[in-house]
Amino acid sequence: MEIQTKQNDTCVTLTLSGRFDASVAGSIKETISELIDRDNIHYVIDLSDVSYMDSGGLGSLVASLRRVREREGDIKLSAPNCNVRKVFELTRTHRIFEFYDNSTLAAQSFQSA
Amino acid sequence: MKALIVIREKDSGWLRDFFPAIHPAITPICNKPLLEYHMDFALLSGCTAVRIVMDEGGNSIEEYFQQGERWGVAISYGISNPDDSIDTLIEKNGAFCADTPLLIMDGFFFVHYDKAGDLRAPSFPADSGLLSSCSSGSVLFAANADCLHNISDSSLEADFALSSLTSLDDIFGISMQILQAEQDHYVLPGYGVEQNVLLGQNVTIEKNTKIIPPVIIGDNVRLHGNTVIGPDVVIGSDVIVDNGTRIERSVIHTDSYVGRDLFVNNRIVHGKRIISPADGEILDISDGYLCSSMDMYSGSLFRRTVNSVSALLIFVVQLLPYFLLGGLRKLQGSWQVEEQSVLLGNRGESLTIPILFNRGDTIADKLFAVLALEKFPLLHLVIKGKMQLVGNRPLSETPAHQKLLADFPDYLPGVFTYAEGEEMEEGGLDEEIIERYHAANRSFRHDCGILLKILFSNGFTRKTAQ
Repeated sequence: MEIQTKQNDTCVTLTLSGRFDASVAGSIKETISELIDRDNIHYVIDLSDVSYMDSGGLGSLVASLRRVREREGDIKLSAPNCNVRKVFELTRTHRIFEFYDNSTLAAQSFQSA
Repeated sequence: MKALIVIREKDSGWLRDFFPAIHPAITPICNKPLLEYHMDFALLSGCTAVRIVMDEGGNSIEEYFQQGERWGVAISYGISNPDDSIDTLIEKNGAFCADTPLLIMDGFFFVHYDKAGDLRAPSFPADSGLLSSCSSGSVLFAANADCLHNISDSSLEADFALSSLTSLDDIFGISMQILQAEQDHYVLPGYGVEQNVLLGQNVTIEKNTKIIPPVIIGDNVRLHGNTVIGPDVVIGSDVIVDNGTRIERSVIHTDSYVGRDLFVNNRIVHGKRIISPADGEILDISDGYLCSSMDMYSGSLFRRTVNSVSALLIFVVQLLPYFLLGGLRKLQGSWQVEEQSVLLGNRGESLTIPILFNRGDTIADKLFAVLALEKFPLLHLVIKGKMQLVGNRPLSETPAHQKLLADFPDYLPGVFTYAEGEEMEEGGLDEEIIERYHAANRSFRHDCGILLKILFSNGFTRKTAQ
């Protein structure tokens, strides 16, 4: 699992690739936690290259969202593949995230907000 | 041109009260899912790609439509939030909607069209706007995404009409309308054997059965002798109608058995459920000889057997320690048991089970917890087939939990639970995520893994206080 971080004026984009499971959930939480400490509160997580996500990966996103929202920020998700999207739907967590076609659109939504 | 089909739970969720196992958007109308009429309409209008956007999980929709190969169109899926406006949806689906004329179908309605008519929508910006609407939705056309802002009525004369779907009577009425007068307007499943009679594949019609048109019958249907079917009857697939039964002006859904010598008139039969469309009155038949779901004859015998045998094994292993340690705990005064009514599924069935609390701190209490002996009084329920060995945390029978289960079709209460497997604290969103995730991914191998984890890995870390 790789995590690439890109920062612009409005948000931080984290691009994940590979399997997003319990073994890497901790590093996502840690990465976002460090970024929050540096006053970054808006995030786009690009899931387009995530081939698989389990409850551990999902749990880390929910935990991070909780932390970010405490600071009145948000995490927006982009381009999950069919299997990853189904995990959000099955667990009903699609209700708490906003999904966009790609990371550019998700980042733009922070500008228009 | 592309089509954006928006399905909102607030418009369609009422239908789940009647047919909880079917996504409202694929409710059959004359044996064809409602959404497939939308799809056909989009294709006839010249769309080459369709995106279905839903605010509630639509696994059954994706299973049915897949990537659109059957229709020769690219179908993709999107997630929305219940309050998303059309502008927000366009923004979220920006890559799909960019640089193309759009046909937007937003809401829960039936679209009346004639496949022989000319439905090709022009693509001039001046034609953009509201093409047609009803109380439960609308169809919009936009030459490009920007044309959707400040939308007004289109100057085009639409060659189609919408019917609101706000009650079961609306759905039943449209089925009857198509059956009686509009069969030629749509592509319907089956082949015509005579005027106004459509039959599916593998339909067995026994001697002395009378069919009075108009009638539509699905695949794998068996009509036993001396039955009278019609007029105005739609029968889904995998249905048996037993001897001497008469069905008139009714809809029999897929996977239903209709018993012998019955008279069904002005009703929708859905498994063991008989519904009056006029007033929505539901009658759940408990006698399987009268009316039932075909599912009850095809349950997973293997799964039930494995469940029962595994529970029996654990029962035998736990028997002696349970009575020894249980007796000791009773003497020490740390024995506490309560009865609780728990939900078995999303149809309101419940069961009273004993809950053993383990709040003491003696060696007996700790051993009791490590050996998971608090599960022992529940094992006979698994052997009897009333609970799963590994499943969801049993939810107590409260209105809040009943509401939760309305959109949790995979829920099956277990003696050992998924949340325990993940060492998750009871209550809250995290536990719900785990429970839903594992329930959706349930399999023999998966459940074995969870059980072993609970018994061996978690056993020694299990706390005595619960």
